Amino acid sequence: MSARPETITAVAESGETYKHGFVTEIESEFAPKGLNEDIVRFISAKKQEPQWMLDWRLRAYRRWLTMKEPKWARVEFPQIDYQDAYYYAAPKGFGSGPKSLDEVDPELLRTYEKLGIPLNERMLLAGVAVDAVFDSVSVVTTFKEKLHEAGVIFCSISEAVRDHPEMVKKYLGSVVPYADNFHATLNSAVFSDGTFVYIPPGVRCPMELSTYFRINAANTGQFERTLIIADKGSYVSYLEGCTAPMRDENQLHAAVVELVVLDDAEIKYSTVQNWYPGDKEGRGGIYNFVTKRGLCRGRNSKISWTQVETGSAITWKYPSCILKGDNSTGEFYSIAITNNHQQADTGTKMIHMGRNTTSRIVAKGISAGGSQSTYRGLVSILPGAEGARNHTQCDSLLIGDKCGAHTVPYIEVRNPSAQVEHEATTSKLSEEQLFYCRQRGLDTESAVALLVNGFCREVLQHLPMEFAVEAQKLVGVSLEGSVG
Amino acid sequence: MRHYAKTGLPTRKQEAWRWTDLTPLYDHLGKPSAPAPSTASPLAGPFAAIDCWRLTFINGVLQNSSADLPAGVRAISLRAALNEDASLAANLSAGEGAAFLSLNTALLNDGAFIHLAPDVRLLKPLHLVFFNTGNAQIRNLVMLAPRAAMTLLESHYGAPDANYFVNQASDVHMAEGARLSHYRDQAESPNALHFQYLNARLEAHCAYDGFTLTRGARLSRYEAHIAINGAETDCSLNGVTMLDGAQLSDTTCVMAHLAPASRSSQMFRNVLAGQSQGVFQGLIRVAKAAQRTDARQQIKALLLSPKAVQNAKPELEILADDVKCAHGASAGQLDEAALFYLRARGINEAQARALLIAAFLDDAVAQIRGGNGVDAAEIRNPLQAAIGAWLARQLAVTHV
Repeated sequence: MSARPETITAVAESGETYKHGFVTEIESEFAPKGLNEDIVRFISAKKQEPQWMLDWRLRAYRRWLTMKEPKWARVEFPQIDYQDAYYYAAPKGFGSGPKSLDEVDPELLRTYEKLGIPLNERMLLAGVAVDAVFDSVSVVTTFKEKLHEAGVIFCSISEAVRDHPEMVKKYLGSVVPYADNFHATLNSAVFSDGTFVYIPPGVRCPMELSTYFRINAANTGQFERTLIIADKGSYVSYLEGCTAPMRDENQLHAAVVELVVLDDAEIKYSTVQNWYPGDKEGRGGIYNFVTKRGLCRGRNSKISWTQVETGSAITWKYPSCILKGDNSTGEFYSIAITNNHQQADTGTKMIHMGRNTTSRIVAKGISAGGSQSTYRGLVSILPGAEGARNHTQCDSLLIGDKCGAHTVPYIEVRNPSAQVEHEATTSKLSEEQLFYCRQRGLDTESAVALLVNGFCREVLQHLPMEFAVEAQKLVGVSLEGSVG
Repeated sequence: MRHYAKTGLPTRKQEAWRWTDLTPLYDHLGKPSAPAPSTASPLAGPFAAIDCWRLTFINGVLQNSSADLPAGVRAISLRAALNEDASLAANLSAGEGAAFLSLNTALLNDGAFIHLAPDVRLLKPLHLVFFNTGNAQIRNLVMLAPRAAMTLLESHYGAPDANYFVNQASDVHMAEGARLSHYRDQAESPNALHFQYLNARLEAHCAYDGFTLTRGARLSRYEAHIAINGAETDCSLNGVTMLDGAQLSDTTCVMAHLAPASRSSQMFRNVLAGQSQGVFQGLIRVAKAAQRTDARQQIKALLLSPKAVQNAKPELEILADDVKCAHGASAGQLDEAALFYLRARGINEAQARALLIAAFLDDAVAQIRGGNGVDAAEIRNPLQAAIGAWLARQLAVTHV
């Protein structure tokens, strides 16, 4: 039995409940509209970057000019005019980043408080350090001193280029080369800010690190770059959150995230993506075209991606793991919720190169309204991956008859000792379960939220505590018809 | 031909041909066929001993006729049928967007035309025997009127050393309530290139049961496009692929559910030795109207050697919300624990391996339902024997 019509309507209704859709009135400084070499030079100069960084950006830009936008994903959007956007927007006076919290415009601080991310350290929940990125610049990075004591470097990437050039030079582009793909190449040319993390050997990062991205200015794209390096035997858990105002035009968010994990180290990377998804008619919203890739370089290293994708008009990303070190492990836990006119084409790639490498993929897709959700994933076992092991599970839940759920897994096996398994199911919200809940006094909306949370349980339990609570709420809210 | 001229041959850059390299084919294009021999080599293989009506084709040209077919059944050369009634051509798909199908439509030599009148049920199978020595573009048209039922067998083989390119396409039209059991043995010569395109359209209350044993040809592709166009239709599509040496075989299935309450299942088993490559691409497409669909698909591959490669893409595309769809894919080697269990009971290694592989492949063979004039066992037993013989040869080579 499929969901009853009233359930479907209840779910589809109230598309206007995006809670982070306000705009902060703040004076911003823009680079001239459009994209050319001068803009790339402008951004680089704004960031006071050394020559080698500018050269790298220009190489990327020139390569980008020769590339064509890929069309293979199951997402539809009008041709993006890359000349009709600002590639740099910063709150006034942020030329080189603020020195301390006192210099930050109070309006900005209030914005983050409204979003539930207080930047004043006294007010913070102990245990999470935040790098707040507003449009093109990093506003503030908290708990820097405390982390410094542990030897952890946690700063904006612009600062890292200035203060730790040897490390940035060594690792930037080592996982996602500047010519990797159309959007990553564009990012390499114009990335404005982002986060840099280095965990020294043997250190277990004393607190969760997190970056909070906010797009505010109209007509801008956000291009951030995250680079996380976990040296031998270290561990870090990193969280990423995102929101944007409600606007009628689409905005592009093309980020690149690179993770490098050395021997016996582990990175746990969690995302709760809640960009503005557009309104009920599908107007506006963020195009979230992101390249995320981690390299397990060392023996026994581990990368774990957990993502809750509830926002964005279009989500198009595949957080991936290259399992190069022997015995390394890659994990991917994902929930993608689409409603109204949202489109998601997401999944992962697990490239097994080393011996006894293991990977696990759990992807849950929930489509409601008129949305389309696709899982696309690659599991590749290369000849050297003796004893490699993969298990993939993709489940889709459909709510309503105007949405679609698609599964496109690619499996390539070049070593007979490998064991690769893929399972997928698609089903609808069971009316029997709904009835059971309603009969016990839950209204339809809470019943749907409860069932969907149960469906996502396997993924939600991999989120760090602070995020799990938020994500659970988001899942419920998103199916009220708004976002999650 | 115009479609073909527009698209040309596919390359690996195209999504549907991602894992199949057509380079060996280029040697064959534009070369005229060698003159055909007047008689075919004696038929061997799993269907040789079955009591049935047989039509033999050499390079796609029909050699005999079956005079004793019951009333309401026609089985003649497609060319003859088209000469009789040119309007039949409307039932041949043009092949827009599918290079091999459009090439076939443009250049077709000949093939079989099979037509069953309403309510006609064949009491024994009809067997199409394709013996090839040179390049051939073969086209079959199978039309079953309402409630007609039959078993159709196909054997593909060639002169042992011949190097040729066979491009065969079949259009199958099943009217309401028709039943077709369609079992194929592809045992082309080791140098051959074999392309097979099945285009089937199933109306309401039909039952289609398909099985393909793929063991021959250097490069082969079996591409099935099945459109379930009516409600309460049952479609089962299964296969076993056994490859060795440098063989590459590609199985590509598109199962399109266009009407409500139909059921489809696909079960494929590959066993790969040498440097062979197995490719499986399966798409289950459920249209908005196809509520209450139950669709299943499973592909499993066993890799017997370190150089063997399996690529798989089991795809789901679902636009209706009240459906049950599941697919599974796996690749790996024999379970060491099971092997140990048998060894501990005194079965030697080669035998133990053969037993386990045969059991693995039997998942697909066991799907054969029979009926329509033939017992399931009559089909399964000789297929199992062919699998056993292949395994004996393999294991003797690699393990004794």
